[in-house]
Amino acid sequence: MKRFRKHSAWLALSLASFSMILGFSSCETAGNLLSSTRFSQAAYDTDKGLKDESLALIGKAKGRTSYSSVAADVEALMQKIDSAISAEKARTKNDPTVAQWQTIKSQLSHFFDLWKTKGTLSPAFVDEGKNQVSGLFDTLIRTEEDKRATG
Amino acid sequence: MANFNQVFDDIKDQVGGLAEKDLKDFSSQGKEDAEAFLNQSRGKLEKWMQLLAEKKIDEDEFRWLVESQKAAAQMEALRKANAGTMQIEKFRDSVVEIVVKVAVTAAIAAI
Repeated sequence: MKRFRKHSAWLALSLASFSMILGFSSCETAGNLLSSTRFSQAAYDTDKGLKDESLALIGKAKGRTSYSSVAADVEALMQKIDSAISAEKARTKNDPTVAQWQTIKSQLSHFFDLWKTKGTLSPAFVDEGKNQVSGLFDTLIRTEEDKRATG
Repeated sequence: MANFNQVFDDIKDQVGGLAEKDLKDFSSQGKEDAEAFLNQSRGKLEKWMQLLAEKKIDEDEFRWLVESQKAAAQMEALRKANAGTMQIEKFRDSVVEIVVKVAVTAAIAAI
């Protein structure tokens, strides 16, 4: 029993040192001790689905389509993006992905604002813009794929 | 349109000056980051400037494209940040596993 007490003291000391070294506070829950940035198939599917929807909508601007004819679609898309951001925020230790979604949202909003303000957009701009938005989504998708390494 | 190399060098000089003025202590890092961004974007900037000169896009559209390139750089930086976080977490998990395994073994041996 004396030996057990000695080991227990050693164990407590070891755990305390370990916690300090890794920066854990005693207030952190056990759940936080384990990493949670895991790959999510649902998030991956959402990323790909919203990429396709965004590019399809941007593509409609090429034929000098007026904004008013797609306004409802734009609103629906932005709501879906807000839902995706909420879902990403619910995943712990996921700040980079949340920030990526906010970056995409900002770029898309600005694109649609331009369309709304001008009424129509230059075809060359639509081509280039579509490529740029596609690239942003590709980076988001690659970031989710990177999580497979720990998932 | 003026020679693109000349325009590009002019942009670089102005950005370098801006980094020195606005970033002070961080001017060296800021200058390097700005140069890396400009070098990575060079091909696209050249194409977009050509489209602007030919009036195939207007100034607002050109500005959106340059901003989207900055967004692309941010997205990549965030991807790297995510990868870094995962490496740290993986290390933490491994340490948790080792501590639990060793501690439990020691505790059992002590009983």
